[in-house]
Amino acid sequence: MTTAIPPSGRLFGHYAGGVTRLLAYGADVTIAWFSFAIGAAATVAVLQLLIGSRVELSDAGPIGGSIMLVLWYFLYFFVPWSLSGKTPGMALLGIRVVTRAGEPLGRGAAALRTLSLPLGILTLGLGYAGIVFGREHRALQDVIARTAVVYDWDARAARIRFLARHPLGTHR
Amino acid sequence: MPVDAVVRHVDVQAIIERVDVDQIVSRVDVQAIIDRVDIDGILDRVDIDRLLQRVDVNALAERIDVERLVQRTDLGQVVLESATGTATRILDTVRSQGVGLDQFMNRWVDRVMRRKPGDAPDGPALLLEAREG
Repeated sequence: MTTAIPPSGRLFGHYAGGVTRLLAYGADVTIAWFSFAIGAAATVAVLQLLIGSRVELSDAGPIGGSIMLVLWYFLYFFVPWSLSGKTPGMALLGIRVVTRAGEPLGRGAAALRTLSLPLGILTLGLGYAGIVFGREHRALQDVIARTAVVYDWDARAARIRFLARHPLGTHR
Repeated sequence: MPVDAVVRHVDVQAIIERVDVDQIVSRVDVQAIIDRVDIDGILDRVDIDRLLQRVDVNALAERIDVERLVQRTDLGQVVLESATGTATRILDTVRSQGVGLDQFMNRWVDRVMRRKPGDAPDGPALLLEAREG
């Protein structure tokens, strides 16, 4: 990975761009899937201990498994958004969901945003066009839930840490 | 003859022009004068609090080039020791790369859509106001 100098301006509160949001979403989908797989395996192990007989994941059936997965995905996004405005992936990339005005997200808006999240894919990606072309970088789920995604990390502090690691004249 | 009348006839300017001020100054022992001044006494009479109240500390702090300070002094080492774990380093790099690509993409979209750079709002008004304090 090449060395990137953190931006000189203060980023906090600025609308987050498409690349950062895509990376955060990718991280979230990965984390959610792995945590579901680990959770399911742990549940099966506990059930086997309790019941005393062999239990298979496939026992839930394709519909049961799908319902559990969808429910898990809902909880994965809804709970962190309603508590702190950021999922683990968003926390990694330093972004946060807020209301369009900039206030913390309420439970209603968090639920609405979670439920409308699949619309981006169901509209063949058109729902995400606003992130790239919109003035406020809002996706379809942002428009529906009246939210916006902003940078939430201290770029200035990161820049100072970078400069401390790279004394004068040792970087571009 | 009254003294005032005599003085009125004196060309003071001509006298001043004939005086070698540099020579007089060179004979003055400035150090001796300074030694006789009670600087501590003067400082005791200065109201530091009142003086500081008249100084705009924020404006002064704004003029400090923190980035240069970090790079040129031991402050950089202090920052480095206190806040640079591997995780922090990776996070800073990933986030910086992301922001760099975001800004690159935004610049191109603005160009394609013929929008003036900086025309769009930076972020939600409440957050920007809170940031400016």
